[in-house]
Amino acid sequence: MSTETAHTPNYDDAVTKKFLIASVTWGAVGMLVGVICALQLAWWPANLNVPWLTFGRLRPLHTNAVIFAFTGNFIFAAMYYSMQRLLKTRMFNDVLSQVHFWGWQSIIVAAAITLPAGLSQSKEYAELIWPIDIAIAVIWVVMAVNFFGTIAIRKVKHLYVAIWFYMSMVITIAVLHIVNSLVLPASATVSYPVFSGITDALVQWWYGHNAVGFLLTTPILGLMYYFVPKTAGRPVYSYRLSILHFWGLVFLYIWAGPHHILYSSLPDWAQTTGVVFSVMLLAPSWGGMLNGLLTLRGAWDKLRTDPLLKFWVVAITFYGMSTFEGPMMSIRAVNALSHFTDWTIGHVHSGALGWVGMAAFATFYYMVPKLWNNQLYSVKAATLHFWLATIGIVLYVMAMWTAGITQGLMWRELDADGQLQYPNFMDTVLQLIPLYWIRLVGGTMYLVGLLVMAWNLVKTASGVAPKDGPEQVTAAPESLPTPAK
Amino acid sequence: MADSMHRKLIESKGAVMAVLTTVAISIGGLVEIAPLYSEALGPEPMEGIEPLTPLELAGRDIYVREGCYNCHSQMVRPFRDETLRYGEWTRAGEIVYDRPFQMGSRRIGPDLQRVGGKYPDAWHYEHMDDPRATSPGSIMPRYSWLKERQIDPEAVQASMRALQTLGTPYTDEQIADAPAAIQRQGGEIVARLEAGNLSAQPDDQIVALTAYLQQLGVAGRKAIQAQKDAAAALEAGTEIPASVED
Amino acid sequence: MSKTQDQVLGHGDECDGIEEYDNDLPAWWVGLFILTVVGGIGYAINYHFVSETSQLAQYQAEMAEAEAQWPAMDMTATVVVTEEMLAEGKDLYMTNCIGCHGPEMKGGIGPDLTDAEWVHGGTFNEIQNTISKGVPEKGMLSWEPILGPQKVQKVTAYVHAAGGGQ
Repeated sequence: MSTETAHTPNYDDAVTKKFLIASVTWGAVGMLVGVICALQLAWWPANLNVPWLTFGRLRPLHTNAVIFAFTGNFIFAAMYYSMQRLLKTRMFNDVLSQVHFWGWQSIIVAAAITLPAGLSQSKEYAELIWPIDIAIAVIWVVMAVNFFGTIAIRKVKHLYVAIWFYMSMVITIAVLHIVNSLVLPASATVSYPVFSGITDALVQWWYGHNAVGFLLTTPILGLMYYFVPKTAGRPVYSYRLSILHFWGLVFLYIWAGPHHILYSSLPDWAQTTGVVFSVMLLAPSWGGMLNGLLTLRGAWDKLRTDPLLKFWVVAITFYGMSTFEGPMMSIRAVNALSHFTDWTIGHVHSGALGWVGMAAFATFYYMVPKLWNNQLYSVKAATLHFWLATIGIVLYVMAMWTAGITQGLMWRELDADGQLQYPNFMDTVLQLIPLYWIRLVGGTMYLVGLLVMAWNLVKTASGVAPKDGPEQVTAAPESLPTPAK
Repeated sequence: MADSMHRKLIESKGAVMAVLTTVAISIGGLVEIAPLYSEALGPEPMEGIEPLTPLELAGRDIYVREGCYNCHSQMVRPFRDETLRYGEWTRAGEIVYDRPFQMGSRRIGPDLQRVGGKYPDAWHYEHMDDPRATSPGSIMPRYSWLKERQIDPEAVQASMRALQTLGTPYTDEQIADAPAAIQRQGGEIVARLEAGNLSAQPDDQIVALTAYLQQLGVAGRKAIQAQKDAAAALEAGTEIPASVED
Repeated sequence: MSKTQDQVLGHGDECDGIEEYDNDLPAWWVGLFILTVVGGIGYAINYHFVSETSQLAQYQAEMAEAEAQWPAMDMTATVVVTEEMLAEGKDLYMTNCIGCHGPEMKGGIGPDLTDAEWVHGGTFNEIQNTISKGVPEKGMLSWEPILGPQKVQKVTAYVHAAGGGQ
């Protein structure tokens, strides 16, 4: 079999390009909204006294935009790119691909209009009103048909590990979304869920936690298994580890939702399952980290010059860190302190900015030169982006850790009489304001980094001659070591 | 070797992989969620827990619309510092009619599950108009437009009908009476606001939101106190013969 | 099992040229997995069946311990006002009361506390009672659940002294 090349005419790369452009664009929008939210917490008048700019309406827009618009489009771009090559097959049906793309973008536009308008179901990461929920389900099924159709007509016998992870996303997100969206409409925009009270809380966080698991984790692991060996030109460290950590992850992840509702009126036994399965998730998660980092063995020398590898190393490291932090925060005693504080915000951003974002950037820098058949315009700009993003994340996460632990400790602090030391809630809020400014700086750096990337990628795509000279341009080796059969 | 079995039996068959994945991701959710629907484990409403009145329901829809849950939780945890600060911890039996449960995940502001009755109506009015008037240094946005907009009684009736279908015990009479009930309950709040030289209409959004906030955790607190009293009475009753035996 | 490291499996043809090594699972990783599984199950068994803990039992223990350490205080007993109490009371006033009564106690939303008129009584116990229980119909909060009895007494001492109570 001849070596695969990036420009095999057979593949539908047009749809990949569209998803990629959408991801970068919506990423800029979603992160800008995040920066505005951060500013509003440090300086409330930033909402300009406009109802649709208030924090309560913008924060869902931020979370939905970065999860479903930035990450969603990124995953689809990487998935369409890699699965066609891994299966040596053009996508099953080009019309379905187009319906998927335009349908998904329409949903995002609808979200961007309805959320600031205050049309919301108030379920975290599932705020969108019921008609949009139905549209999401339909488009997801369209994507699933295309996905499984491509698998059915594939020209290779075995499915590579990346495909397993993509499949777990396609199946699980469908189940989560449909169950969590079971509502009875009262009007075109208002609806009430079939679940209520503590049962509703459990369903919400079964969804919420696993949306993180199967949208922000497993598909990114899947594409890591494609893009890391490609970028580094190294074989995957251990096939056996792939098998074990994949099944460990998909089986254990789904149980961990109740760690979001510890010390609630959820029955103790259900809370315990959330604690125990979260702790058990550590090893399967780290299996992914190990396979990622150990695949880079022997490519460390390239790390100095190749920004793509830098992005991957930081992404995988943050994945390892946040999958250690997560189980720790699920332990009852730690959760008692961390829950309801900014520690959680820090945790989710070390995963979102550190893992998802950095993996996305590495993937974009890999795909754009290949898709547009040009060399990356500026390696220096990519390196600048790397440092802006990395320092931005560190500032963000450190500020939120400090804020979270400070507030958690102040809430429970007792005076000599056994009464609350800080009975006025404002006491704790005022302590956090300086940290909110630091978070704003970190988040802004991350956004600026993204804009630098966007500029660099536009230059690359438009075929401007590389600025830093062809020698330094990073391009993954097209051919990998031939197997010793 | 397990690896080669996996390769032969699973990786080569997309359908097998899909079925096994579906099974793997279904078990956890089923084991955790399904038992809450059994009679023994599912939460029952506590004594005196009633569905929201039409005005309170309208207020709750405003709470949802403005995304209050993004900064305010509604779940007091069973820790002494939390019960000192907020009041009794939140029981499953007092939130059975909450769809969706407004638990929240972050306390940028304080928990609100037991805020009902903690402040006078006028406090909420002033606080929504400008949070810094009542809480110096607050970072909460102003919600002054709630004073200028009114609720739609027909929308409230549609909401009540949907909730009734889902099992919330609203009667048809209550639904038919909703517009009048809004005027009655809103009128009481307006009267209290006017006593403090504030003016409002019974169907103002700020009045509805105040009505919703003012009932939060109140019936639950009473139900919990009743349970405690009953338990104390029972204990007092059984302790005497026990000490006699000693 | 000992095995040669870094043997490629030869799957590359089916993976867009990506190869996979036949490396064994890292021993420490296997150990970690077993540890978390065994530890997790052990924790659950201990929590529910051996030590028979529950979050309610933990809460009740915490409350009982606090009651033993800080017995309920008698708010009717005569108070000897100290300098420290006044200083702490002033801090509490500045954090919690100035919104309505002003930094100079000259009033605002709430009444002037420095004039001769005490709407709800001006003795130490009367002021303490007003702060403790509040005046709901006028918007004065019930502060005891918020501040606790000791802090209420300190604010009372400050208001009584600085406002010229009877």
